[in-house]
Amino acid sequence: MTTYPQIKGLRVKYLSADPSGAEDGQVWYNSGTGNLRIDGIALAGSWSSGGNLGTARQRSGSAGTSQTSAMSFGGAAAPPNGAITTNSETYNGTSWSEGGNLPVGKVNLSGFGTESAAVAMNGRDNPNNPFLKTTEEYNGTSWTGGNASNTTSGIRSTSGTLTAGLATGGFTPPSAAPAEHVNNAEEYNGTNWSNVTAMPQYQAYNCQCGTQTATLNGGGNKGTSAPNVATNNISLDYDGTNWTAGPNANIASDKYTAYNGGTGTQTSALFLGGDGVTTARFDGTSFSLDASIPAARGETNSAGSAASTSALVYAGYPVPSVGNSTIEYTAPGTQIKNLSTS
Amino acid sequence: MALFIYGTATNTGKDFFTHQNRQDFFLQGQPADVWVIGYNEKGARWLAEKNGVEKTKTEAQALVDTEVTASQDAWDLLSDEEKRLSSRPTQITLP
Repeated sequence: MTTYPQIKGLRVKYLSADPSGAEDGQVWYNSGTGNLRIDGIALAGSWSSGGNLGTARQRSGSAGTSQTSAMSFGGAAAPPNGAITTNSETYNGTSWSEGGNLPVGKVNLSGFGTESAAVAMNGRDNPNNPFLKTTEEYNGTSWTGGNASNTTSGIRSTSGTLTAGLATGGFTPPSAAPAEHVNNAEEYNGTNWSNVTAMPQYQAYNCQCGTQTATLNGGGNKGTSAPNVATNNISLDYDGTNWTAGPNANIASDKYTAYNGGTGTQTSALFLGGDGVTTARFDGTSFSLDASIPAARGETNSAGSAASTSALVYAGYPVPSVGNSTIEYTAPGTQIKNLSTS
Repeated sequence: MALFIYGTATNTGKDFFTHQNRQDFFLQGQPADVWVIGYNEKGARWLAEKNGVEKTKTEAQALVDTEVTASQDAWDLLSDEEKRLSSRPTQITLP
């Protein structure tokens, strides 16, 4: 009869507790619990709940770098008369606390940067008013006005840092041709916005992540009036100068319409935030479905500069059911499990 | 055999559901604090630990329908421009 030592070359250890630093495939007997244990059982990626925001909101701006450092600002309560808020909140991995209020409440605004150096841009201060091109900067305590962007719009896709940011696309009703969507792209250097090479298509609502010189943009295009709709199911890479078309991010019917919802880098990204529960992961070559989120959410926020393997997503539509909630992603890994004979 | 447990529970934030929960049983959030939970011991225990209230599927569906209808009514009151910024909430059929 083949024995375990013959197969593995080791005997099963008799231990009073699980060992630290166990290796995949290692088996031992835990005399403390009376269980035969094994390490290396595959664990799928999944989403768990984080702390709840103090103010439920959708269509808000966001910034952040990790599951322990993120912020949400502005946004609105539920339609049709959802109050637009000036409120901002910061997250430490456990709970949300109050940050400095925006000087003017805005909705459909976009954000990027870090918890101590964030940018809020565009959006509008009243549903009946035109969109804005105002910029505000946050220093970890309070907001100050920055120079205006070049494009009056909202629902822009954003990424990067306060001193090296990128804003693309957007929505600007009521506008002349070409329709209500925007193909403009502009960079922020911490002081001024500068128009750069326009995107090859007009778009809004797209997820975006990465740096100013290595950006990934995709999904989205919720609007029906955008020109070139037939070609909207592509992702776009920006290298600081030019745009290059990539594969389609809209691999599920949800569309990924969270313009503040992309997370990761140009080569390792996670998109979500359509009106469904799917997520799309980009591995540098193609998009594939990743772990479903527990409840559908649209127009959500994310810690946009967090690694795609440790994403943090919060706020979003519908309010109130998900508008104050936070979810945290854990990438696939391995775990220790009991071995059972039954 | 039932596949799901239906219940209502208020999301209290951090650790309301954990990664381990997601490995242990199916969990799907819906409007009106309705949760669809995999029908096993760990799922049932989770709902009890969260002070949840178990519902029949019919009761849970009614709660969701009421919430979605209210959201649709609210959406219908939006201006045409605002409507183009969002999709009308759609009816949800619980699994």
